[in-house]
Amino acid sequence: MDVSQYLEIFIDETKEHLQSLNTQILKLEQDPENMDTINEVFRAAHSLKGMAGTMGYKRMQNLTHDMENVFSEVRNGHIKINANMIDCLFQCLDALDEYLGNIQESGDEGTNENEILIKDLNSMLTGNTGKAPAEPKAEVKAEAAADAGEKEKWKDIPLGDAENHVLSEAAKQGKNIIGLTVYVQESCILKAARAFLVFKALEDLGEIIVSNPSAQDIEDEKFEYEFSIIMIADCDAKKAIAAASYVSEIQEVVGSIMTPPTYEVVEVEKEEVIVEETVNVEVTENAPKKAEAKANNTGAEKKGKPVVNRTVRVDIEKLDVLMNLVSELIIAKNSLVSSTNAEGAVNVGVNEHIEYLESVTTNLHESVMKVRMVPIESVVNKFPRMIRDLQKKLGKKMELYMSGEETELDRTVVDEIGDPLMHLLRNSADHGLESAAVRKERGKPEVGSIFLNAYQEGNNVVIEVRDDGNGIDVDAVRNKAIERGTITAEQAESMSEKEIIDLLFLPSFSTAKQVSDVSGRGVGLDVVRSKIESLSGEVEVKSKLGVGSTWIIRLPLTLAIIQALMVVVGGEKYAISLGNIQTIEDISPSDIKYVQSKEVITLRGNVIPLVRLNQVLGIESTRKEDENMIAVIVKKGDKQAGLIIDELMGQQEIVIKSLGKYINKSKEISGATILGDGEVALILDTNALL
Amino acid sequence: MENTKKFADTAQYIVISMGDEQFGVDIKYIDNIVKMQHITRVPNVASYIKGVINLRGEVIPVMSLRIKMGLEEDITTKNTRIIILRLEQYGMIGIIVDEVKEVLTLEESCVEKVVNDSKDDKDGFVFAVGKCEGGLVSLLDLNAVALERE
Repeated sequence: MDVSQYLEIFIDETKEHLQSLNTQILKLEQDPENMDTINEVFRAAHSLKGMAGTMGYKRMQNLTHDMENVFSEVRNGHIKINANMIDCLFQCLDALDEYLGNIQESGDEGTNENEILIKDLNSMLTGNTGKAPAEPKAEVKAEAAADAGEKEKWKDIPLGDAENHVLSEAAKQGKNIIGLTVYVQESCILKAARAFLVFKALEDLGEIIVSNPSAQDIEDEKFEYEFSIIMIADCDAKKAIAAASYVSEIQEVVGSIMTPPTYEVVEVEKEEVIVEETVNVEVTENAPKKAEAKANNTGAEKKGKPVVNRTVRVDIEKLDVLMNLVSELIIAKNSLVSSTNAEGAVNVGVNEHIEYLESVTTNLHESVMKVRMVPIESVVNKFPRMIRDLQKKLGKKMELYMSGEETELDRTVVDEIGDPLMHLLRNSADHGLESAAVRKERGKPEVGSIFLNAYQEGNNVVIEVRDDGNGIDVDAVRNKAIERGTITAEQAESMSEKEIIDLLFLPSFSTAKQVSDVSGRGVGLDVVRSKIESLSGEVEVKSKLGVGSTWIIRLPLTLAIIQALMVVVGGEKYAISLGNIQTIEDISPSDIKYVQSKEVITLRGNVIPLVRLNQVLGIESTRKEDENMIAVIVKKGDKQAGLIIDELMGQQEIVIKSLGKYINKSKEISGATILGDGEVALILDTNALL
Repeated sequence: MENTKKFADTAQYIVISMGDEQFGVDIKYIDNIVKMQHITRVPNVASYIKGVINLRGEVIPVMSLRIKMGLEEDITTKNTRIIILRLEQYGMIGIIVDEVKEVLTLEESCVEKVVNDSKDDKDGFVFAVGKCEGGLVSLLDLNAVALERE
C-alpha cells in the first residue's frame, strides 16, 4: 500500500479544512466565547494534524499539533481568546497554506520549521497545561476499564491449527503473544491508511500472525471502525499499544499479552489487562476528550459536513470527456433531425422517436453541465479573511457583506474568477473607500461597506462588487489620461463619462496617488477585463462620485453548448447566441433614420444603431434595397444594436468549437459550430459588433 | 532546416502537383488527405485563407496554396484534394492542392538544398529540391507555407 495515492484527497481535504479554519477563526474574532465555533476549529485542526501525520508531513503535523493544543485549552476554558492570539493563528494558517503549496508543487512540505510560530503557540499554553490533562484522565480510566472486557475483540479471533501451532512455538521460544484491538476514530477518512500505519508500526516490533478482518480486507477498507490483531514479539504489550496509538486518528488501542492457545487463559492476564488500561489511557490521552467533544457537537458537525457520503470526487478531465461525448451526441442528433426533415415527413413514428431523442440529449446535456457546476462559495470564502487583513494594512475600517455564495458556475470559470474578484475587492478597499476621518466628515458611517453579490440572470451569472466609498473621480481619470498621453485634451472634451471610466481598463492605468502593495501598480483592471473576457464574460462599472461604485461582472453559465439563433446573410449561415438577443424586428426601409450619417431606427422610444451584417462580413445581401428588412436586436449591457440579416432559420442548440490558433484575426467571429448536415457555421460575436 | 537534419538516410514525401510543377510534402506532417468539400468562408481574414471545414467534428482552417504562392485561383476538379497538415506551431491546417500523385522515398543524397531568394514568393516556400526518376520535386517548407503573410 502506498500513501501517495491519497495525496490528491489529502490536498483537497486540507484545503477544505484550512478554509473552514479561516472562516471559523474570523467568526471567533467577532465572538470569542462561541463554543460551537471553538469546537469546530478544534476539530478542523485535529483532522489536519491527523492527515498531515498520515501522509508523513512532520512539520505540518507539529504545527497543527501545537495549534490543536491551544484550541484544546481554549475549549476547556483555560485560556481566553485575544486579538494577539487571533493574529498568531492566522499566521499559522498562512504557514500551513505555504506547506500545502509546497506539497502541491513538489510533493514535499518544504523545510520551513516555523519555530517562531510554534514558540508563540506554546507561550500561549504555558501556565495552563499543568492541571488540564490530569482530570479527564481519571474519569476516563474508570470508563475505559468498565468496557474493557467487551472492547478486547481480539479474543474473538478464530484461530486455525496453523496459527495455533505458530503461536505455541513462539511461546516455547519465550516470545510474547500480544493481542490487540485497535479502534479508529469514526471521523477518520482514510481508515485503510491508518490501519496500514498501525500494521507498519507493529511489524517493526514483531510479526503479525493473524488479523480480523484479514489484511487484504483492511487494505480495501472493508472494516468498520475497529480491527484486531494477534502478533508475536519480543517486547511486552505496553510497547505494542504505544506504537499503535502513536498513529493519529486512532481512538483507542486495547490489548494484552495472551497465553498460547493450547493452554487455558490464566489469571495473570487479568492483572495485565488493568495495567494495560492505564497505559492505554496515558498514550491515547486525547481520545476520550475527543469523544466528549464529539458528543457536544453532533449538531454542529451535521451542519458542517452534511454531504460527505453523498458526493464523489471526479477528475475534471473525465467530465470534459463526458462533455465532449455529449457534444458529439448532440451533433449526431442534429444531423438526424436535418436528414429526416430533408426527406419530408415520411414516417410519423420516426419523428416521434427523434423528438424523444431530442429531449433525452437536452436533459443529458443539462445534467452533465450541472455536474460541472460548483458554487462560487469555494472562491469567495477566502475574501472575509482578505478584507480583515486589508483593514489592518490600510488602516481603514470596512466590512464585507456577501450574498449569493451558493450561485453556481462552471468549474473552470470558478477556478479562474478568484483573481479578478480579489482585485476588484482590493480596489474597492484601497481606492474606493475613504479613510474613517473623511467618511465622518462626509456624513457616512465610519465603517465602509463592501458588498459582494452574486445571482443568476437568464443564461448569465452576475457578480457585483459594490462599495459605498468615493466612487470614480471622472475628472481625475481624465486629467491622468491626458497627462499620460493616452488621450488628447480635445478627445477628452468629447468623451462621455462612461468612455472616460472605460479608460481605467486600459493597460498601465492607475489613479492611485500612492503605490501600495494592495493595488496601484497599474497592472490591475486591464488584467481583470482580459481575464473575464477570456471566459466569454464582460465587466462594466457604474459609479457616482461621493456615493460609491459598482463593478458588474457577467459570465455565461455554460461555455461549451449554447442555444443560438441561426440566420442567413448573403447565402451564408451564421449563429447568434440567444443570450444576447433581445427581439427580432421587421423594419421597412422608410423606418431608417440617420444620425451623424449612421443608420438608426427608433424602437419603443430607443434609438438603436443598425449594423448591416452583409457589409461587415463582406458579402452581397440577397435582399433588394426596397424590401423590408429583418433586424435582430442584440444587447450588451445597456448598449443595443440592430443586426440586419437576410433570412431567419430558427433556434438551435449548438456546440461551440474553436476556430483554432491559425485564424484569429477575424474579430466578428467568436467560434464555429457544426450543423446537422456536417457543414460548418460561424458564430457571430455580437459584443464585437456593438 | 530542421526537416533535413532529422532523417538519417531517407525520408518520405507525398508528391503533389500545382500547375506544371511538382512539390513534395514531408509525410510526417500529414494527418490526412481529404477530397474537396464545402468550405465555409470566414470573413475578414487574409485572402489565402479559404475558410474552415469540418473534419470529423473538428473545425479546421483551409488555405489555398495557389493564392499564397501568387498563382491564379484554384479550379476545383475531381482531382482536387485538401491535405490536412499537423504543425506544432499552428495546429491542424488544410491546404488545397490540384492533385495528389504518389508517395516518394528520397535518399538524402538526392536532396539538394536551395538558397532562398526571398524576393520570389514561390521560392520562399521551398527548402530543397529532390531528384527522382520522374524529374525534380520541390520540397515544401511547411512552416513557411503556414506563416502569416499578405
